[in-house]
Amino acid sequence: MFIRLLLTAMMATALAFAQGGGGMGDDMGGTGGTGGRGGGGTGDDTGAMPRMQRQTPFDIFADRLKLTKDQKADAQTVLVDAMKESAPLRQQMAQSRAAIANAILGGKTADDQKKAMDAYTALVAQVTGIETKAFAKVCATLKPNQQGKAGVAFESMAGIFNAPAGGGGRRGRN
Amino acid sequence: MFFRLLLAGILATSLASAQRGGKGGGAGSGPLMPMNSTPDKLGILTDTFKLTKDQKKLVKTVLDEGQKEAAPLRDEAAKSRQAIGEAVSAGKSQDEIDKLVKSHAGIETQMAGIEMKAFARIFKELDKEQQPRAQILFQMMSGIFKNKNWND
Repeated sequence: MFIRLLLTAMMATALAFAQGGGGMGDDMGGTGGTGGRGGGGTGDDTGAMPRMQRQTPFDIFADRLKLTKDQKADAQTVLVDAMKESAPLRQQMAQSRAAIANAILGGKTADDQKKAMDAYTALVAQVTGIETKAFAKVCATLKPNQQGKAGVAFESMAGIFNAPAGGGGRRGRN
Repeated sequence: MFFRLLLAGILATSLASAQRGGKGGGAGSGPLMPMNSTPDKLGILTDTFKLTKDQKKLVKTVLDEGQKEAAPLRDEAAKSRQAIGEAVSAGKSQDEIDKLVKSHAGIETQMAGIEMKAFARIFKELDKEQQPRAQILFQMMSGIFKNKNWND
């Protein structure tokens, strides 16, 4: 069971990266996106239906900080690098989630379950650390009048980084 | 195993497209899918697993309970992330930021625990023919309670 879930998790993560074009995918604000994701998401049988352009997580992030065009380009580079850096950790996070599920399903002891949870905590902390450093780089380019919404901007950054394998997502809140 | 994983990949792709495409009524979305309708998660799970009426009810109950349990964490997670952003923006020390990050990771882990607990409860109720498709549910669980309504 564990192996199966583990492989599934790895597969899912790999798939998510493949869908995202190996990097930021369409979450970085590109229009059109890949593989039918995002945007209007309409298929090829929609005829003349008007398309609603969905705001990407990166757009939301950039809007909150009121980034200029140049700042956006810089931010995009920084975030792409951070995503690349955190990609292996995200894969481990999926595996770690599978380990937690298996510990629960396998009726493991509370201690074993805690170990699985602790491992996940460590991974989340590492990934958040990478995001934090990336955000600091973005903040360094901000003018004082752009820093007011830094908190909520960082929150929305989760939507960029947590492009979920299954689309469930931490893309934002409603 | 290869075919199982291949199938998992295909199903996962379909699911991702279905969820992310949102409003899509694309060519591959099935003949019964009305245009401009967004299938909710329960609908996706029902279709994917061919859930019985009782299973569907149980899935809904489990996820409703998970949502309830996760509600305080949802707000905490948002606040803790905002606090990190504000600390970074304000140029606080790395030690202070690390503390906030650690605290945030703890909250996210609690959330993941609730998600995986709900996953396990549902998984147990799936029959042997349904279980091989559990990866779809597994993927869907990530962040499922971060919205006000898991079924949106």
